[in-house]
Amino acid sequence: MKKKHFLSSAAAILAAAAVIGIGALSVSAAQNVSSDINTDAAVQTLAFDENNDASLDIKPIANDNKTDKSGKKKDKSVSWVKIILISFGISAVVTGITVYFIYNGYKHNGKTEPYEYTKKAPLDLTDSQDELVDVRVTSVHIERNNN
Amino acid sequence: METISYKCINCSGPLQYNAQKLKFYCEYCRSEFTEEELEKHFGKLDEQLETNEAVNEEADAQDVPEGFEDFAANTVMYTCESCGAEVIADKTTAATFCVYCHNPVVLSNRLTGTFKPNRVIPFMISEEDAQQKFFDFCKKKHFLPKNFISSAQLDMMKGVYYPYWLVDSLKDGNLFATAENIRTWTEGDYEYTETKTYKVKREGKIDFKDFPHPALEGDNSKALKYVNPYDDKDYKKFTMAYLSGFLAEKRNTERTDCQSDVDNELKVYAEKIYKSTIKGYDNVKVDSCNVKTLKESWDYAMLPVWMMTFNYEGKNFLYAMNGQTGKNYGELPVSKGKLAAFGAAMFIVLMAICILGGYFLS
Repeated sequence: MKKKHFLSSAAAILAAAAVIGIGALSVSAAQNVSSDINTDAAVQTLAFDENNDASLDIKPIANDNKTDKSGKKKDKSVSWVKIILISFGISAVVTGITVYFIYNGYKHNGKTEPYEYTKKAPLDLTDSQDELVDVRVTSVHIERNNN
Repeated sequence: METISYKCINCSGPLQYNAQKLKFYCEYCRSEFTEEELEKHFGKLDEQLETNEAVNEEADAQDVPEGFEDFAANTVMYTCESCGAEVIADKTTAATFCVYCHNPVVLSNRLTGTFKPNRVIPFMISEEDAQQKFFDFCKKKHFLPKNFISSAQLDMMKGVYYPYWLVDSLKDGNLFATAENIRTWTEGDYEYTETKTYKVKREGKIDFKDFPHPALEGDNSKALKYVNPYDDKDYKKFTMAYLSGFLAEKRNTERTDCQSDVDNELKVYAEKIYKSTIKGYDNVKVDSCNVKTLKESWDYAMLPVWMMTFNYEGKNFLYAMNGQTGKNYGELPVSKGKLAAFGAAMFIVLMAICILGGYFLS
């Protein structure tokens, strides 16, 4: 029973960390995809010469991103490095916090209230005053997006 | 050194108080006796506690050989009534076992005069139950060293009566605080925040009953504090017979030594009590709390604790259990190897999950 409790707790921690990790990675992946779209976007135009022969004239959309194949490979490797770094960071933080709490839990067992003051120390209240001394109102303008 | 051994009326075996049966019990012939039956046979128990003054144990100082002054100052020799052996105990020991015949012995002179306790709570948890509770406590801890829970370890658990001051204190005081209520709302393009600030005062008398403070200073004082609280319902008038079969310690701090500590602790509790009456606010900040003592009385009691010390990798660990309620306090050793293996496994699994997640998303 205790082993099941321990395993289920460990599974819950791992699941939570996985959700956080996947969330961070999906944000990172979304940024990569949008940059890929910008990189790959191009305009294909068909130009017709005097003899009605078409030649494909591909003009890339003017942007700052690289559009050739070597650029794509470089972006993919950068993306993998990002994934590994983010994974490493999340795993290290979650593992470190978990180990810290486990270690600390073994040091202080039973440090709870040693005196039941609610039961053994009754209060005979002779004076009670609550005086309003100040009222302050502040306002903040809310920026609204009109697009 | 005068000693008392409480012996079975039938077989002269050593007697020990049994909490489950609420009687004095002989392990040899399994006879059971109430306190009244023992008094009928032996006469009034602890009569010498009523008549004797506290014994001055420094009377034999002139007999101490050179170089042993420190040892002599902290120890005393007594003669076991059962086997006649001369056994040494330290200055705070009030009850112990003869190291030769293992007969329980109460050093009666340690508990006379002003050192006589007023009250005692007998052990309500037997040694077997205490060991089982400790075993159950350790079962939940998966990172203990491999051979930590062993029968040899459990055999080192000892039942000890520790001295406590119990303070009844009537305090009169007041508390001044600043409290706030915060409200926010939105109107049009503006968000408004209203903060109402109040000056709060609470005044009244607090009657503290049986506030415990350990009367033995040493490495165990933190454990002795946090095994509390004890339940009032089991307090009994003190007789030395309750100590038979257990270890016991005599106090080494007087009221004057503890007065300032007790006053500070009671002031902290007074602040908590006054603050608990301030309700209905979002924030409360205490500006000042003043408390004075109207009336105070100090009682001296012996309270039961199951105690165990153990050594792991050169460091001493202490485990204490309330001998009445079973509340645990203590520090446990952590197997660094097990913790490191768990950390490494967790790290690898998390890395794998995050990398896989990144692969499928990208």
